[in-house]
Amino acid sequence: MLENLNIYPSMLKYNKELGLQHTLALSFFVIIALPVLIFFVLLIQSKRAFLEVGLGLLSTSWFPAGQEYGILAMLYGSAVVVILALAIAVPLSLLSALALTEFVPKSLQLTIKSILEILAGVPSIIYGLLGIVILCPWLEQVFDISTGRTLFAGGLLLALMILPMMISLFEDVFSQIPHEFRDNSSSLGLNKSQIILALILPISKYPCFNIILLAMSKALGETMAIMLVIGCVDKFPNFWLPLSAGQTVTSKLGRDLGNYSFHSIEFSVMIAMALILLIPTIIFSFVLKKRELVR
Amino acid sequence: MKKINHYLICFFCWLALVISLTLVLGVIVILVGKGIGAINWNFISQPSTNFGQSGGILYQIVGSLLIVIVAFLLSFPVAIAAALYKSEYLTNKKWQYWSDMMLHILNGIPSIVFGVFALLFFINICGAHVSWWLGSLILAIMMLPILTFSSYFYLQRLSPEIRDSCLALGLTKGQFIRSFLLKRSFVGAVSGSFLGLARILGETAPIMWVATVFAGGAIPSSWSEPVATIATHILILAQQANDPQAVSNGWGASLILISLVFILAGIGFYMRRQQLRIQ
Repeated sequence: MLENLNIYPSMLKYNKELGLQHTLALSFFVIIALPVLIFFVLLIQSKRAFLEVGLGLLSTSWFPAGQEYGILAMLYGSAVVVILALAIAVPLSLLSALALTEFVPKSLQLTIKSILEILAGVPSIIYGLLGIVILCPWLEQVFDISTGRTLFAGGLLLALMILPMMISLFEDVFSQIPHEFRDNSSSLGLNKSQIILALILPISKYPCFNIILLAMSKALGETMAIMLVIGCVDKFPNFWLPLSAGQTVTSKLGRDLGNYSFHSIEFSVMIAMALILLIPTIIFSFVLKKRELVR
Repeated sequence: MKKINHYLICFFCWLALVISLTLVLGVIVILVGKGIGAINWNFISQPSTNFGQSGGILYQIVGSLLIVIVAFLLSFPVAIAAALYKSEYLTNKKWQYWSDMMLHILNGIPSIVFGVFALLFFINICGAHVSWWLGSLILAIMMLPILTFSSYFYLQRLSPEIRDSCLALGLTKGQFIRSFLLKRSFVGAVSGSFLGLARILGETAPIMWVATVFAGGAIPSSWSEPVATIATHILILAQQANDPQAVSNGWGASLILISLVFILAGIGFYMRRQQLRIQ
């Protein structure tokens, strides 16, 4: 501030400068404070769950009337759904992006890429409608089960939801590799598939890992679509196959949070689940940021 | 052997591309095919009756637009100011890192957590009543990181010559910001706003406890009234999946929602492409 004073002795001008800076700073620090505020509000409200239920959270039965507040079934459901979705979407999107950058003509590539970017914004509630009206009855027919609302349906729907985003992100990575690299490789006598195996995939190993992390955090937080197709049964699945109804953390929150009264212990446990949902987001952000600095 | 490997890899890449494009475009084809039959003038201009089974979605469209536009008006100035501060005044490396971090976290927080936070903070702690402006507030928070990053990166792309010549003309930092950078940050934030609006328009989870009613919404006449939005309307209709009339109305509402989202996202991406071309 002292330099400003030296250049502009007029008090008025000095105040104007400082006023602008302070106004801008205020908005900036409001934004920076928001994630911290969200974290602490959730932490304070879930304190009761951690103190009074404690390790009881790590049981498999959710039965508030009987003082049982196990959230393991929901965590299991979330894990199954996300792993299923990634197992389907990662290979599919990786190979599609490779085809898009290496085999498809340039003009068509841009068109497909634009379409995918826009399609990545389809609201999740619309996927939910799609899942409940089309996917679930189809699953009932194919697997001959009484209801199609299963963990498997959730995984399939989630894979479909993250697919356009992942293809377009992978494509970004692959098309950023300089063209000289490809030219050099092909002048050494490598054909396209060898270029893919020896150049493209090794070079983009870390960015691809980042994209998978990003997709994972998106998939963990999906609510509306999953909530409609998952079946919403709070039990740990009886057999270890995903073809049974289940519950994820997000669907439990979406379905039931409104039903419990504030200040009840089950409400506090629900807030603890929201906090658990927030923690991977924070970890992934740190990992992604760190990798960005390393590269 | 090499040849076989080559053909196998080509085959699987093409197969994956065809499958994914079929799936992704199939979603759109289904939506358009099923939704187009439900949409007519009455569907857009009539209020819904009987839990959405009959009638149109006029109030839902008005409610969605109201919440989203107010959210935009709330977050736009804050985002521009934050981007200007981050780009012009924040020289400390550590603060840069942490502000990036916080914006990334805010951008990555799942929408349901925003909903839980809104319910806790606005309703439980602050004691507000369920009303549409709370929805605008929480959606504005969701939009903030998108707008801030978009504005910030556009400011960062400013060539150093322009900055130097402005300062060489004797402008102070404040004058430089007011006369030149403000306009530029505005342009950067506009493309981000379209993308942000496209994102929050379809959000259900953040607003379903604090701002919306599931039945009988109307055009609000005061601050403290809940509204119905297109997305929550689809949620209600999806829960009546056994009723063909409700499902048909759901497809219609989905098609309208998705058209709005695609128009906004299309404009946003187009503007961003244009911005990346010019300095």
